[in-house]
Amino acid sequence: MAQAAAAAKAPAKKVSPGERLLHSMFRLLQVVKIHQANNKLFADNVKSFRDILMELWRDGFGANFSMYRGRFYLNDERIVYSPTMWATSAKMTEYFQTRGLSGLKFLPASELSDDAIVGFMDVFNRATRDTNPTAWLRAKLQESYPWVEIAEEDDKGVAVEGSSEAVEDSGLGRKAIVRGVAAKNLSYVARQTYSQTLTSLRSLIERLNAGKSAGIQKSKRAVQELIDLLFEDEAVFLALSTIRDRDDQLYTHSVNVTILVLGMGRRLGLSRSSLEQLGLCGLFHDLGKANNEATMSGEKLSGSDKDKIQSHSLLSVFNIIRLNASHSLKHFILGPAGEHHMGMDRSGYPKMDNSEEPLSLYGRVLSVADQYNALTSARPWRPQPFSPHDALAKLLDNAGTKLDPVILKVFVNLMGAWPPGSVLVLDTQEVAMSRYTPSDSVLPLARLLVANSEGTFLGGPLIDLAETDPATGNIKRNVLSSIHPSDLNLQPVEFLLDAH
Amino acid sequence: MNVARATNMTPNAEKAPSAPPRAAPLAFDDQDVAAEVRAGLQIFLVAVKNCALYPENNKIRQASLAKAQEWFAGFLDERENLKLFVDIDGLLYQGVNVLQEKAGETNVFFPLFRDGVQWIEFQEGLDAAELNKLIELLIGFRMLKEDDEDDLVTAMWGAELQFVKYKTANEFWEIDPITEIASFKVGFAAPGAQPKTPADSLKTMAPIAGPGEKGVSRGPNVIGALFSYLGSDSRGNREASLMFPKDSQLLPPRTGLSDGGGDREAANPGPENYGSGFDHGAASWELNDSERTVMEDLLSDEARLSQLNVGLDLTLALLVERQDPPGRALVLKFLAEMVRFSLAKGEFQSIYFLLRKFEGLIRAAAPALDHLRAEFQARLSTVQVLDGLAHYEAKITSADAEKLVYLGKILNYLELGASRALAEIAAQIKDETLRAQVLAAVAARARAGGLELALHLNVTLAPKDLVTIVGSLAETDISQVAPFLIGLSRHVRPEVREAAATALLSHDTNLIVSTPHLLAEPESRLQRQIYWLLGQKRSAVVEKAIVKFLRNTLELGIARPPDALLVAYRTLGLCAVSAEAVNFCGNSLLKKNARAFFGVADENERAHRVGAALALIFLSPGLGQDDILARASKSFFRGLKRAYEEAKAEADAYYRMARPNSEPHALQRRA
Repeated sequence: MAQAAAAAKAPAKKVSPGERLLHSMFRLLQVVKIHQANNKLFADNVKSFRDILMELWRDGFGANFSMYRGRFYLNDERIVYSPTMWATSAKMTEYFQTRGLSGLKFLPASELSDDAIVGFMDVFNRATRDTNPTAWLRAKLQESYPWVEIAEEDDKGVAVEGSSEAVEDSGLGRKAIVRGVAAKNLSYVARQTYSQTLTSLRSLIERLNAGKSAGIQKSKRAVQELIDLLFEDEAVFLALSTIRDRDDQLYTHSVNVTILVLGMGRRLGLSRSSLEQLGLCGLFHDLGKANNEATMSGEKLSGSDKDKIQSHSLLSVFNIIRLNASHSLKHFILGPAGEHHMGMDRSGYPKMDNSEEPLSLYGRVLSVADQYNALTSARPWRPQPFSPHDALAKLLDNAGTKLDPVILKVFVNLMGAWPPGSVLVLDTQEVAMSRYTPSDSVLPLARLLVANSEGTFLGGPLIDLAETDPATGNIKRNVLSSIHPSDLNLQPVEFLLDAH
Repeated sequence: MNVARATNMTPNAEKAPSAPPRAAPLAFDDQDVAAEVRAGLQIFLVAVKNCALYPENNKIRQASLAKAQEWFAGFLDERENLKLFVDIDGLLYQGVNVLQEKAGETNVFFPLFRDGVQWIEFQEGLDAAELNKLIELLIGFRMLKEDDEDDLVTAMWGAELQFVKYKTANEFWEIDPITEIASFKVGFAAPGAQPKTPADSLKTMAPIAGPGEKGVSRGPNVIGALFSYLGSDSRGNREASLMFPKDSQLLPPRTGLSDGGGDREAANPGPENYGSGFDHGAASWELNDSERTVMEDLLSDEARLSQLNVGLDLTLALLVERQDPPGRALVLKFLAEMVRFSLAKGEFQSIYFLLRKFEGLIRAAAPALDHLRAEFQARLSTVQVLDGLAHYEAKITSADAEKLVYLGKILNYLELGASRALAEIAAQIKDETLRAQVLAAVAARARAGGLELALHLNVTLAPKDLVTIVGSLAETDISQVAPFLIGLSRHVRPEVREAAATALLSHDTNLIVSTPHLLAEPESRLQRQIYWLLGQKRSAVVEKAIVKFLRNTLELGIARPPDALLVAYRTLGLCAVSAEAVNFCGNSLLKKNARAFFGVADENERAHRVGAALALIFLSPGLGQDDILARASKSFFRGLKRAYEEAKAEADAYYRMARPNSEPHALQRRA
């Protein structure tokens, strides 16, 4: 009953203007063919179409409705729609193709009568009767419907910066592979992947909180993309784990933990499918915090709040059980979610006095990643997070008790003594940000931070802290100390991702 | 007229690629290749369609797969790869449409488009197995529901195709603007404070002075200020801790330090009291041999670990934690699913331990959680859960004896009403031993299930399984399961009727009252068996039942095989104790009519007379049958006399065949 009430209160699914336009135009094209003008369905659809156009014209600009290779765009933004719309989309594609159209422009009009709309739809329908539908339609529109134009094709094919599609041969012989573009692509892909992982988690939690069935398809896709990114470039991948958002303590934390566990999992030699499971463990390990006010408030906790916090592990287990996923997958991922605060010595929570089972491998991996990310994240009640380096030291304090020492070693190996994002103070009076420690080195590659006249930092060149002076054989730059990037209000990923 | 963009564009949105320039007409070579690709795709389509229609070992399917693979091998051998761009209604090769199908779920390649695949590339080395895998995926993901766990792309990823590459756009079904990471706020400022630049941050750190400088450093000298800040007394300890963290000797040594680090050993004495094998001396934090062994053991343990063990304690803890009935119901459902999956893997011991832990939990919390026991048992006792057994494919061998013991305990845990579900599952289990165990569990519920269960099983289980069940009841008190056996005695197959009837009548012949249909058993061997059992001891109840049966047969003129009638009458004679049998038989034997006089009675009437005489011969002495037999033996009615003589001959033959240790009363001769 409570779930039904919650579902009833849940906000209706958002439908984009583009999807509404596509749907409305399609329906109206059908309705005009079949029904009389005095039919209620007819009137409703005309009104709906007009309302959409008026909304799109609100700011005085027109609406460019284009089609390219079976996909529709509204003002150059791809219209993404639910699977139920595929048939509509396919039909509209056919309509455009048979009329030789790549798009329509709906120009702002102060008024738009029913007759004008119906007339346009009728003309659109009838265009195929002519031997040259495009020309016929153009003429009719110019003659009677000045608020609609046929969009002309643009021959200037532009490689869109940052878009990986730009470097692809679309099959017409254009190859535009430029190293810089490819490099920026990875940065773009990394950000996009992070963003989509965040979004997948957000939408899943929204559905859980609304008492709805929550599928994991998006999350699976996101984790798979992260794994692909990991295999492509570990440095870029780990850079993402430095992202912090003080206004969000759940989502970025969960994604960062996912990144860290995947990094460790790869070092452990897990297969891709095991990595996928481990990644999902990481992404869902704090699902129990989703509808838990104590955990979301970020305030310093009182006694009863602490109980609520500690219940989040079991609540995570419960929410995982609720997921719309195969039983075997849920079974794999719920254990680590429940275990990640237990500690190897079982001194943590939840207390499981009767349990004889040792902590699972995934649970141990998750514990390390979770603690590291928590220590290096600011909290309202602890505004000063540990620097990455200090956080490692703190973790090592717990090796053998709360944390598995061998897993911890793997983690340190992954992150290096100066984990990515560490701000390093060098003895050359320079400041650098650690980017990545190659596996054959103990000192990281780093990005110099160059102060500008406004008192902020810009990213400088990449340096190798292991570089030695050829004359003396000594290390050129020594690390004197490290601080947390938030001390300088820096978001490390802004410096690390474009460092190619 | 150019249209300006509307303001509803979200940042980083995917921009519409401009329409491609019109392609130049293909050269002659390319047209041939495009045609070749078209032809190859048609072969592939046929293979897909046949795979959807036929099972794996079907010759048509195999042949079309082989043909497709042959085509790919030939093409890829020559050209190394085949890259196809995906459109809503077809595929493009080098910009040319090589496959056109109606967009939608009937289009074989539509799932690629739907799930965002931009291109798919087949590479040299593609073999039949991988081609088959791809086809299975295309078929399996032809339709997609919004909450499906996988789509084609995630499934292809999971399939780890070696020679099929693809590129996807990250498309989700709702508009998801790319989150601007640059807009994230990094740290926490004091309440009401404005966001700071790094220089601003440094202003609040006092005292600061660059090397050789006094006062606050700004702008270009911010780095100097930073150094001073870090070296200042107010945070001097911090510097020390940064340079020499608490357990810094665990960290790789800093080489080349001008302030002197001493030798590496001194810098890294290593802490104590860590896990055994934890190597502190390694410069690069690589796992040493013993640590690698630990890790490999962990990994292989993880692979071997019963899924049931992982998370079980947590799930049970959740059962206590949840106070809401729907929440508990969900957890119980999950536990039941755990059982199902473990049944399918034959992890019977793990299931047994789950049940023990569950029971322990219920008892510890008693009586608060008592109701959960019944609820859980009810869930376990369904086909949906027990179905796991039907999917257990390994053969049970003698080495699995212990496993079967655990299975027996699990089956005993199920509620009494589980018999129907068990029966349904038993019918699907291939392994004989496993099936027998399940059938035994059914038998154990025969008492509770009674007649209704039996009638259900009559149509659910194979006859041999029913016979097995009856066999399982050998040690049971038959009176407790009599209704069940009575139900089985009505089965259409004689072997089942025999097993049930034998069990019933061996226990108590008086049960014939509840199974009068057995008296009319059509299968002759079984009929003799039944009557033999009935004739083992004298019983007024049995006598009455047989008399009633014979009377009905006679009065209603029901035709029965003469041999069968004789068997019935003989048994009457062997079991009767009262005058009722004498009277009935006497009337049957001495009934006078024209046919009797002339000795021309029909077969049925004759059989009844002979049978009646036979019964009288076998009766215990002193019931008055002697007089009747004497009258018949001397009667002028040929039919009567003949009947007596035939009966006497029959009795003599029976006596000769009778086993030496038969009861004396069964063998009394009558002159």
